[in-house]
Amino acid sequence: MIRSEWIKLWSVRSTWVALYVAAAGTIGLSVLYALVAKTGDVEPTDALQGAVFGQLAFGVLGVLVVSSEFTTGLIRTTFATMPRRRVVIGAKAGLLFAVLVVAGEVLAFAGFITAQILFAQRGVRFSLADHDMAISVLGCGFHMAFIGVFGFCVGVLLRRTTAAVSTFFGIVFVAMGVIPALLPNTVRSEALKLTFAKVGEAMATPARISPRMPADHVLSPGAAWGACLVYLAISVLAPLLVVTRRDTN
Amino acid sequence: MIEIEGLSKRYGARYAVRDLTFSVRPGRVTGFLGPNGAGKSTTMRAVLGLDLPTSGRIRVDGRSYAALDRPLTHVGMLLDAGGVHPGRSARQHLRAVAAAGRLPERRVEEVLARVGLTEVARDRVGGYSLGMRQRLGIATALLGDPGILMFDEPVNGLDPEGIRWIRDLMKALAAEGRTVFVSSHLMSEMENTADHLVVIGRGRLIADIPARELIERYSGGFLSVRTDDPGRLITVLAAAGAQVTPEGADTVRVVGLAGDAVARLAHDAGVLVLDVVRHATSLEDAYLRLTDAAVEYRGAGA
Repeated sequence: MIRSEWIKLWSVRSTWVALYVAAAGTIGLSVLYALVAKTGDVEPTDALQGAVFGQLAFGVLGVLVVSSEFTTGLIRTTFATMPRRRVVIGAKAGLLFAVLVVAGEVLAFAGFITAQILFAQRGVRFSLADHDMAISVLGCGFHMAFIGVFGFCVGVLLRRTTAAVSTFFGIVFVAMGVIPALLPNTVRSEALKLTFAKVGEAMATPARISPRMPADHVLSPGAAWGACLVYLAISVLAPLLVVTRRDTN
Repeated sequence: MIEIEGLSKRYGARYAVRDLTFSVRPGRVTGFLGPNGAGKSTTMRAVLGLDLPTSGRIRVDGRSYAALDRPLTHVGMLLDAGGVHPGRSARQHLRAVAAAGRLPERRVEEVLARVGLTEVARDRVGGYSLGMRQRLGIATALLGDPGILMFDEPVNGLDPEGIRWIRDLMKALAAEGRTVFVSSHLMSEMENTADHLVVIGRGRLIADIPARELIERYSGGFLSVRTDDPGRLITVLAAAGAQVTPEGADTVRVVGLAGDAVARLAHDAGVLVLDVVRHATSLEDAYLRLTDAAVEYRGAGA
């Protein structure tokens, strides 16, 4: 089943496009930061901010991996070929996550090292050996992969590409920014900390040097990894639960 | 062999299929006929475990579909809307399906050759004509060398050459001893292909009979014969094996004899034939009459 999904994944252009976009965005922003940042106050983890492009591209890829099958009707052949649908969805999710973790980590480390080399030219030195630096880069890549799997979850639940892509954007990039602001003060900061963006920030910045602003709430790195893993588990379990209960027409 | 027993499928308050029972046997082409919306696709999807039945039981080669080991080696299907990602090549598509179905990789080249797509197997399916896509769908169905083949509206939108190719293929597959189950909403498509017909309307079974019997029973038309001696003519024609019923004071309705035979018999018996009107009925008409009461979506004034 994994082999089948592997063939499917690499035999469409959208996979390559998504990975190129993710690479261009992630590494591109690292380059940009390394070129424009003032040498006086360089924050190495800020070189990872291009990861938001990686998240975007991975999320769309996650949606497409499954929604394209529903939209084209291929899913009927797939489910008729393997009537145990959870095996199909499990294989898809597992393979997607594995590929995205590898890709996400490669991009995060590539972006970081690119920035490191460019900054070195300007006399600013930092490296992966610095305190918490490696875990920051690792967290950045892992969070990107999680966002991709969340896209996959939305894709399975909604089944249609346009609906799923817009819902994915709506949740990740809009709702999670807007809704906490509407909540009462008492819970606002807690809610804010649990948004995907802030969890990702917490995972990618344990090595941060400069103090945060008082209003800037983020979880501790450990709690952020925990939250991310819980979200990841939900993003895999929800598709597994719904997929056996629906008709495939 | 497909056995369907008491199958019902309900969407909300509406039954797409209601208490359907029939079997599809090997070695012949079984046509699955019914107007649009009669429940044909629902039934076929239910056989594959894609639609979950509200009630009833479906057996494929004696087992439930989900219990089959390597289902593609039992059932191959061509479902109506293609079911191929347009960005993938035919070969990649078939390789992916073969891998999921645990089928040997060499089958990919074998089915490509059988449907005549070997030369374009590297091209993206998005650039295929409808006929080529249909061939790819059939290649997918044949991939597991299954004993049962289901085709949902296989000739929809095809040119005459494509239609003939599919008809010949279906007959050949049945001649190889396979079970061939093919749906259509047009009787004319089945006329030259199907050995057996299952007709449904509004989700219910209307007929489950050999195609020849349907033709004999419902088509061929009848003759209205006006004569000077209806009583005598009825006796003579009935003795010759025709079904004869009085139609009016001087007219009888004759089923099962041609006009010249009626005239000759009448002549020999000394009965005068005044007029013969032939009422032709095509198989299409027979089918329409059969399903008339069951048509669900009827155009206003049609």
